[in-house]
Amino acid sequence: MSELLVRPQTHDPAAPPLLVNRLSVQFNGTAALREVSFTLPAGQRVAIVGPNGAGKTTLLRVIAGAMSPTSGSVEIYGARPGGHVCIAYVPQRSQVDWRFPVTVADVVMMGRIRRLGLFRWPGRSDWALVRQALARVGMDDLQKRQIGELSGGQQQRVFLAQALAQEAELVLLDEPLTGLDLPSQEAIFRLLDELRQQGIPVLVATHDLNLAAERFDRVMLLNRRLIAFGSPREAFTREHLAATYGGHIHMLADSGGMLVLTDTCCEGDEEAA
Amino acid sequence: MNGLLAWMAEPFAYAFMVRGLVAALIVGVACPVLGTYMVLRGMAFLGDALAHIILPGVVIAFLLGWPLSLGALIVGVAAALSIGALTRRGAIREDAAIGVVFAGAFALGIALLSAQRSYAVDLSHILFGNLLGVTGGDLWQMAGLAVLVLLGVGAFYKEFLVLSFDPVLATTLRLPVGFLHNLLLVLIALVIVASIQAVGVALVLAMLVTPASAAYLLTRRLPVMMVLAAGFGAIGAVLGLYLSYYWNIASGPAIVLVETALFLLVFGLAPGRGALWSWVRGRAAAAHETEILVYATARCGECSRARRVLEARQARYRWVDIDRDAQAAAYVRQVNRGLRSVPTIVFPDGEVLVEPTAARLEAKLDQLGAPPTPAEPSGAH
Repeated sequence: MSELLVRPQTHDPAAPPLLVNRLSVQFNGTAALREVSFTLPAGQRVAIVGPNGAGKTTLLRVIAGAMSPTSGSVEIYGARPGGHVCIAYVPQRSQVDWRFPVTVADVVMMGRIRRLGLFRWPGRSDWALVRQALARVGMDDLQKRQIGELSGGQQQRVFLAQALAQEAELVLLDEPLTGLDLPSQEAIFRLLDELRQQGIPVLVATHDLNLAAERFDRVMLLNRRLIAFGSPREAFTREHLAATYGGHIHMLADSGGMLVLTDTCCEGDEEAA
Repeated sequence: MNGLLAWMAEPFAYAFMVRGLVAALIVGVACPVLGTYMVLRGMAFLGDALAHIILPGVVIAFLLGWPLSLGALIVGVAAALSIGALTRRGAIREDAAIGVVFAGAFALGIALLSAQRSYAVDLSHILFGNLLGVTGGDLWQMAGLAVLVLLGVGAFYKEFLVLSFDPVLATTLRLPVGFLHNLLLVLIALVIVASIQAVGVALVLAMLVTPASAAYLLTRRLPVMMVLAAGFGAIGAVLGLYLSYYWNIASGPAIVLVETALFLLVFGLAPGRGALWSWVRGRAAAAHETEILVYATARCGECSRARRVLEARQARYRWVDIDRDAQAAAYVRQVNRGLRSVPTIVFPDGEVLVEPTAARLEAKLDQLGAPPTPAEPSGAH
């Protein structure tokens, strides 16, 4: 019963939003993550890139507190993830049961459940917050739809609205851009811009190196260990890319910069296969 | 008319039939409401196992003169914890652990029962229920358990909803996931105890999952699904008792048979999802569809390649972007067992090619008689 009584962790304003220190995760003896360390300042948008099986999802889940590290530590605003209700983790779309009998508004309301507390039903102010969150992602007219009746971009925006309703102060997105058309991607970036203005840091796992280079403050190259973490210019060097992707990458340099082609794609689909 | 009324009223001239009806309705409504979560979480096997596992608890409580629910609850919780302990270190898979505990506990229950005198009679009652032997005291106990279970579902509705929808989300929202999971198991154990008298441990699974599965086919709203499931359960209880009375069938199996028939009816006829509906839609589509359907996405090289082949052969095709059409995306996932494989190409004759090579696509167009050169007379001709 004691776990029912845990109060939400208060934030240390002097601490960084996210501090990861020598984080390692092992599954059945094989290392999924090895000695990963980095610090994330407020308001930054970070792309995590790396080949399939690089540990991107594992890293996000450990930061979210949904998985325990084998060694090392994660601190969010100065405390372990387990006490926080301010972390929003949006899974890959392939991980969601889209046939589940819930509406768009129901899924967004899930973000408020912990703030509501046990034995209390959502009140008028909670539904107003849900409507607000849906309006911010441009989906207020679809709130009564069953979640399976949406396009891929709309499905992704429902979960972003859930993070807004949760009043998240750290947002983790797993492959939110995969399989979306350009207008849907733009809609998501507009929202991420808003989060940046509010000082909320966002970590995004992605396969799209070009988007990572163009639309993010920082890029993390990950392949079980942290290979590079910095501005796109610092991170995307020939050496770093080769160390991250090995043989699965082709680099074409020209006067304007470098064109990078990887032959990894669509992690979720492969997992499902 | 009077004849029908008399026919309907006749069974309930007997007090034991009235008590049986009340008992069947209590169980018929309480089980499916909880069963809704079991269907959504894929817990059917665990539910069946739990029903058998609590047998020794019931028998021991009976021998010691305790309330049966207390014995069932103790054994149910112990079993849930031991299944958790067996799987915790990844020693064996959960379904195997459930199987081991399930069979072992059930054997213990039978062994304890078989040491008693009136073994044969009592065993069949515990396995298949004895609805018409329900006493007034039994009814009060069943009603109390059912109210407790429904209160539990009401109190933790939104937490159970999140847990069923996405356990990882439940964890990141810092819901007490372990506590909620065990609470759900305890509620299932309680409703099973309430049902033993009505349908027995061997058939209680049907009360839990059959009406809820039928409801799942009819709605995409959880509250509606619960109400519909309870409705199917109630109909099953009433019709099952008539079946039992007039055809002289054991009442527990009669109720389960009616519920199964209701499920099959819904499965066949459900609008949008039923088998009949799919067949009709398939026929209608086959009759009207003379063009090739290409399910694709904007950024997919293979799709563009397929398009070039179709253009070159002047095939009549329709391009469907599955990023913009959720129904189309769902169809592609259905065809490809959950994967969004593009291009998925559906031909007028019903054949589906997924990510075909250019040669395979050409061969299919040959088979359909697509001309290598324009067949219809055109202005340039």
